[in-house]
Amino acid sequence: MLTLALTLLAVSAPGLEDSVVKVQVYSSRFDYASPWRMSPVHGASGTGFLLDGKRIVTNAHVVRDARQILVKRHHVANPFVARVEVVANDCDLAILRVEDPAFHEGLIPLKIGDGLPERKSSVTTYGYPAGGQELSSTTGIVSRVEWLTYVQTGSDAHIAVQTDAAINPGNSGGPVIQKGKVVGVAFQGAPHLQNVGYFIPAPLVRHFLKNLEDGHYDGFPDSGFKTTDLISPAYKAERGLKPDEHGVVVEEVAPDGTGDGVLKPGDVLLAVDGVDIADDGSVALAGVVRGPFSHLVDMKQVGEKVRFKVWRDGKRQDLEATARRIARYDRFRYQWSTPPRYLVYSGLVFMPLDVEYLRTWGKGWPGKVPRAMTWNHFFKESAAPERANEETVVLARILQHPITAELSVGPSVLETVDGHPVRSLAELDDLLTQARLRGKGQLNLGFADGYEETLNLEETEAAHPRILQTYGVRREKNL
Amino acid sequence: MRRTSSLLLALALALGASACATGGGPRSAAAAPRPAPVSPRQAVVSVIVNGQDPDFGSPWVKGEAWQRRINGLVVEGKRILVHARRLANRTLVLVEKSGESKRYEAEVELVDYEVPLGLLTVKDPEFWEGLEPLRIADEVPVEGDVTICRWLDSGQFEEARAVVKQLRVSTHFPGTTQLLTLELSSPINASGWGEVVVSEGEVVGITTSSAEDTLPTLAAPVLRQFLEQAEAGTYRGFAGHGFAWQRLTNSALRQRLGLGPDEGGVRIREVLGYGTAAGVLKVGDVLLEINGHKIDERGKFKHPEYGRLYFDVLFTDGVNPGDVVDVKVLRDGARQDLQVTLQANRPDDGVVPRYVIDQSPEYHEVGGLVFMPLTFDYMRQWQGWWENGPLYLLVAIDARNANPTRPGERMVVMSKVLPDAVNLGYADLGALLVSKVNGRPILGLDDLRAALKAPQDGFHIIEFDPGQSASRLVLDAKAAEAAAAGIHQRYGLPDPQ
Repeated sequence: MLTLALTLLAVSAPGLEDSVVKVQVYSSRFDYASPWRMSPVHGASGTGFLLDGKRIVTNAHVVRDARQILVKRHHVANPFVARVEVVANDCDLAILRVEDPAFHEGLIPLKIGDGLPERKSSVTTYGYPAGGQELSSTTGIVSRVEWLTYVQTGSDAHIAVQTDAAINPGNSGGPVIQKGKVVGVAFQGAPHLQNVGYFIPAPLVRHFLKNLEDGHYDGFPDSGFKTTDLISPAYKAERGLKPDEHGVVVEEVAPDGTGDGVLKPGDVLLAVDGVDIADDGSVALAGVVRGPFSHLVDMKQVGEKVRFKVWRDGKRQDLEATARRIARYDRFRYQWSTPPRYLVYSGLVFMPLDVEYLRTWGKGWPGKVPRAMTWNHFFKESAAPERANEETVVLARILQHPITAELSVGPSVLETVDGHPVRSLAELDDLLTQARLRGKGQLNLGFADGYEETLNLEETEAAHPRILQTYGVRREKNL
Repeated sequence: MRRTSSLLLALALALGASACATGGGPRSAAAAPRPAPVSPRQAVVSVIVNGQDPDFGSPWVKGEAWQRRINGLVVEGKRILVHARRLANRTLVLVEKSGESKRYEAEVELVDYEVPLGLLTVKDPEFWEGLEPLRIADEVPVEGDVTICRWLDSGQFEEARAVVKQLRVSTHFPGTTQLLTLELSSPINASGWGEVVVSEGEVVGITTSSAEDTLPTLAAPVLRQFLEQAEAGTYRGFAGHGFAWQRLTNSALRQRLGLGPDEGGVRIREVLGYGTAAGVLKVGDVLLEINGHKIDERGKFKHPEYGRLYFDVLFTDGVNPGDVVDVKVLRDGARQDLQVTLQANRPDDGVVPRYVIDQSPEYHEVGGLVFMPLTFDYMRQWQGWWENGPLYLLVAIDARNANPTRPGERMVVMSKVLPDAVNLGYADLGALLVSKVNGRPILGLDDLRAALKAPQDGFHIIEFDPGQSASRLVLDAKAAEAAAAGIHQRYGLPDPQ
């Protein structure tokens, strides 16, 4: 009976269904194993909806690696060409534009709601699951609010709302409607669970839109500190807190994060922006909905102030920090649409150490890659904070040629060139450029695990263009 | 069929007096008159090993008891030579002969898991009736057919044909010693359990494992060397060289190092902090010759009998720990003659013991927190641990294993938490590498025990290496003490003495 009532409601809201469009995407992925190459074109579809300002909202993952995007209106035969205006991979949202004025005729922009929907309240998803031509809608209830890893980058986590309304491939990017307003954007399921779908809640969509007001997307800030909960009465007593005082203990503070220079390991974080933190790290989000305190930092725009209340040296202290984004953490994010960074010299392919390169080693890569890569990717920052912002460069592969075929080293972390440390792909490019200007003599490369190799510049200078040609490397670098 | 080993001669000449004693003694025994032909049935016996492996997940309990049948070779002096991998964690060893069902108790006289080989004795004189040692060959064939001899569970003796694929240098689990290894190809099932490999009436090897249809087999010279050391009564084990190297096939690198095109040589890229090379060889040295054998740019030398083999075997074949090996290196552009004294491979020379066999795993428990030294056996709780184990531990092993800051140094992990009110909040923690306890650095379980005697203001403060899922935890020292009996009872731990 409930379902019926809601369907009637949806029908009685004129234009809502027309504003939900099918997004047809032809994409081609860069091949990180041969970073100058692209994979074959692949077609897929998702859903989008119209927002004010003639913007179409969809998921970032719907338009990942897009080469051509077509948008199709409900019950309109001909598709319209669209382009991506902005992509926010970290929250899986994107804005598309259709220039053709005909597209917008008669369309009413949807409105984004405020706050989080209540648990057990009904929501309706609209979209084109499995690519069909007809708009589909299903109704379900809000099951819970969770802190969830967003699969688009595999590295960003935000709150997400779980619902039992069907969310299937093709639904992605579609609006989730409650009382005529968008309470979220459908975006992912749970691979091993039935009747579980997730949508990006309105506060995140609003965060994204607000960030865009200056015409540039800055991304979400990183809290940049690690905490442990204070469930242990012993730990709480050791910190000098009474049993009825609550918070979490700061354990590590990352350079350049929101907590850098403000929080210290050992601090007990009691509140963020005046919201008290429970011993398990949770805070009240809306009504009875609780979520991790990280959400409070997550909701800040980069550059905004964050107030921390901490227990330090036996007293309460109010601290103020600025929300910051840690750029180096991009290496943990899957990359879409942006061409891979690499540098080829004389058959040696160098790349920055990031998750995309590491994924070329296949499933289970963290334990399969040389240990020096694992260390640099995951643990360098904790073990050597002063080197946190150094970019690790790897010899990703070797294109076989008489000069390179006899090298002893395999895929490895490049540490030095002619004795100079290599701290970024750009630095490697500088060092190689200098050497190539010499044009003769030797070039010495030092790798992890004690490997060394030498190149004879006269030989490599002669071989370099030929290797590029043989292997069809159209660009020798993309820094 | 037998020829004088010219390798041995070369070794004897190069090594001088001390080497003559080791090299010459055993080999002269080999030159004794050849006994009458013996049938393999008379020389191969069935060995039934019963054992019980420890449980590294709950180190205070033992795992399931098991039984395995392997083969043994009767050798001179009423001894049985066996592949030792299956002797690990044994509780009772029994032997059968001639397909008879009567079993005799055997004792393990010597075992070296680094090879791995063991020597059994049987007290009951009746057992030896009808058994004859089979001669172990001086040399092994590098091609052609050989016979794999074994007793089946049914009591039948099987002689199966196998083909020698190649002779190479390899290690045999759980050992890390680089040894002469015959690689056989054979279609027989369920092999690799210490079967005796015979050619022309002499033993040429003992199988150690099987993969697909390939059987790695410890070659006769290794068996002889093991027995000769055992006979001498001063078993010293087998050596390793203690460094890692890279090949020098890149001509530009050769040019930079000042190597001639035909000079061969490999570059040493890491030297273990312990073992044969420590203190003598250096990173960057180019290894040119070992005991007069020229090493090529891919790390091989020309063995007088067996062709091109990896040089690693020059640190084991015919030489024993304590012997001196001549090494010629190119260092900083100059060719130098150096000497290294061979050090036996031991499973616990590094910071992380490669195996813990025939002993209970060490642990220390306080307030339900279980601490253990980090060992390869601990890591083996994770299937395919080398790739799938806890990432931080894998990286830590790689970074620290080769360079203990003191002998006997160990990394200590908090392996798990036995949930109890005293450790509330920590139940999901485990596999964390400990850095400090009560402010003191922890380089072994003894450090941990000492540190726990000095709580800080009534608390035990456990700190972990940064970068892991937890950095620090706190226990109430008195409460932990009070909770001990309850925790021990509930989780079946023995009370500490």
